[in-house]
Amino acid sequence: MFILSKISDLIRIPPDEFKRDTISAITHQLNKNYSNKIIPHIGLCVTIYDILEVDEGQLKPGDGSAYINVTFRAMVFKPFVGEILTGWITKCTADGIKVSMLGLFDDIFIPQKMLFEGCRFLPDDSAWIWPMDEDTKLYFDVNEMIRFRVEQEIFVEVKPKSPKEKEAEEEAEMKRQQALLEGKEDSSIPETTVEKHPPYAILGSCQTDGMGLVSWWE
Amino acid sequence: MKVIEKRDAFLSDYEVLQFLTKLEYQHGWDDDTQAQLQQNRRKKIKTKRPYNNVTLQRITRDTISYLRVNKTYVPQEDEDESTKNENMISPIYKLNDSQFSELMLALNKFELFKIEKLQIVNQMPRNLVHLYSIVEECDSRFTEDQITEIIGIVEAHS
Repeated sequence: MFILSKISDLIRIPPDEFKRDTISAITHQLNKNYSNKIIPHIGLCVTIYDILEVDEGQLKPGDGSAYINVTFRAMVFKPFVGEILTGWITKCTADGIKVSMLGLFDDIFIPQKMLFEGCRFLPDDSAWIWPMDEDTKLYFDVNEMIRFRVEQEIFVEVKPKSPKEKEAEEEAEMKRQQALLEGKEDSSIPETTVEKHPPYAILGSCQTDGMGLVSWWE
Repeated sequence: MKVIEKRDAFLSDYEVLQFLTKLEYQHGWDDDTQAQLQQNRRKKIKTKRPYNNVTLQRITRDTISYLRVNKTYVPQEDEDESTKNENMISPIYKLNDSQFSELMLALNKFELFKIEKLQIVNQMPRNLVHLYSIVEECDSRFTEDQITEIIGIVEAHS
């Protein structure tokens, strides 16, 4: 589930960090840049594991900061394809099941075609069921612990928000707050947050024995 | 940024948990130190402030809390609270270094692939279905006795 990745980077140490010793200043900067961030085509960086090499610092004209080339190892959350993971169901839709790993990682999706054969979606209960045989129907309910196999990882380049998008977002937020102040229910103004592609997502499957809710197999 | 080696090493959940708990302790983010700080603040005793890095603190806390939960246990109705709470804690949280290496050495005598062994020590499967899903073609590669032995080893360490 976790790996170490060896990375080198040029980091900038601003002058107010000069009072620290080199290693802790570097670790601080690296943690600021990397922890809880997605490293493209690798995974979710949790923290800096250790620092392997530190070059001599360089100065650049017009800037009081020191620039240092460092090589370090980062602890990265990156499950491999075929790995079995456990998470909790957060949402069931007609397209599939959304799974979260309790704050650690949220963008896991099990599409409907990767569920057990014969699985059906019940719009009334908004839950998936797996009719194992004639009489037993097994429910995929929200907040249940689910085991799945990692099938694919998807990386999407995410651009920073354009000024227009930011403006629209702020406006929507203002409107929502206004509605709250007036005591209206949120029915009149729908949440405008458009589902954006997460930079790193995992596709899972539930098709073999042992997969699905943990309670089925215990 | 330049990635020199994407996968320098695999880490087991146990190692991650140890590393992060130590990190949390070093930075004064664990519960004991936080409580102590609160007390000192109330008594107006000056203490060194813990390292301030909110994102790192949050991801550390979240990862630890994820790893702490026992993912093979389903609460039963007829159990009382204390056994329930006890069983909710993952076996990897209760291990120490020597027990962990003992577990690794015990698993070494089976012809498991590295990633299969890694998943076994991460997930500590205690029933056959779970083990079969981790180990590919388990029934043709191992005899029944060997499989019960693997489960036995895992159970002895959890």
